[in-house]
Amino acid sequence: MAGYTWRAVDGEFRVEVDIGGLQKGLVLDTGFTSPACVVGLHVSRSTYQRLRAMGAISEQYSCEVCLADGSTDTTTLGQVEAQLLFDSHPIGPRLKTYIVDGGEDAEELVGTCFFHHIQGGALTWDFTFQTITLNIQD
Amino acid sequence: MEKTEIYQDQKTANLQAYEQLKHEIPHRYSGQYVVIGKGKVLLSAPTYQKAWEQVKLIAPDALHFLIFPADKGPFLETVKVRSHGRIHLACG
Repeated sequence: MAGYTWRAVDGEFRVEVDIGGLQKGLVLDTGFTSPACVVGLHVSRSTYQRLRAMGAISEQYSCEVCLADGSTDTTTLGQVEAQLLFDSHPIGPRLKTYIVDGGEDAEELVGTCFFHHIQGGALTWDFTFQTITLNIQD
Repeated sequence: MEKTEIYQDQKTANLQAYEQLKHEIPHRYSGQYVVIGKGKVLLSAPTYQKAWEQVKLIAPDALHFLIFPADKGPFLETVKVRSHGRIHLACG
């Protein structure tokens, strides 16, 4: 079992994820979810288009997105392979997940559903020290 | 009728259309992306991007539509992005 700890910066946890060969820093957002928990990533349109051009997105769908103000919108999501990184080194399994095209200048997010697919992993949130620690099988 | 009501009506019609056609679509449009809008199959296209561009051209007033690989079916979940956009707090 190995432990990896991230410290909150400006109140946010930012983690590094390799998405189909593209490394991105993403904000952990517990409000970004989907009922069957298959959607783990949310990126700006330019990132989404770059991933598509790289051939990292295997199949695409239109999807309904419910936004913070209660409004709904139709956008695009696609399937990708993604890998959580720590200090640029891969940790845990490589995952298949769906990634949402969040539109122009959208905040780039990793949701709870991404972590729910890390089998055997457990996350500890330390409120006092403002850290999260992922414990995972080596 | 308000925009949200129109959206919901279109969504209901599109989901009903998919239910009625879901066995036929994989045979008829295999290997294609299918667009359901206005309660019917509007078009099929070889790529997702072509399907998206076409639906914006031929049905610019469609608030709800489904684009999906014919062999897989649509993505029917609603994705929640509660923190979409940043909230800036100014103090002092």
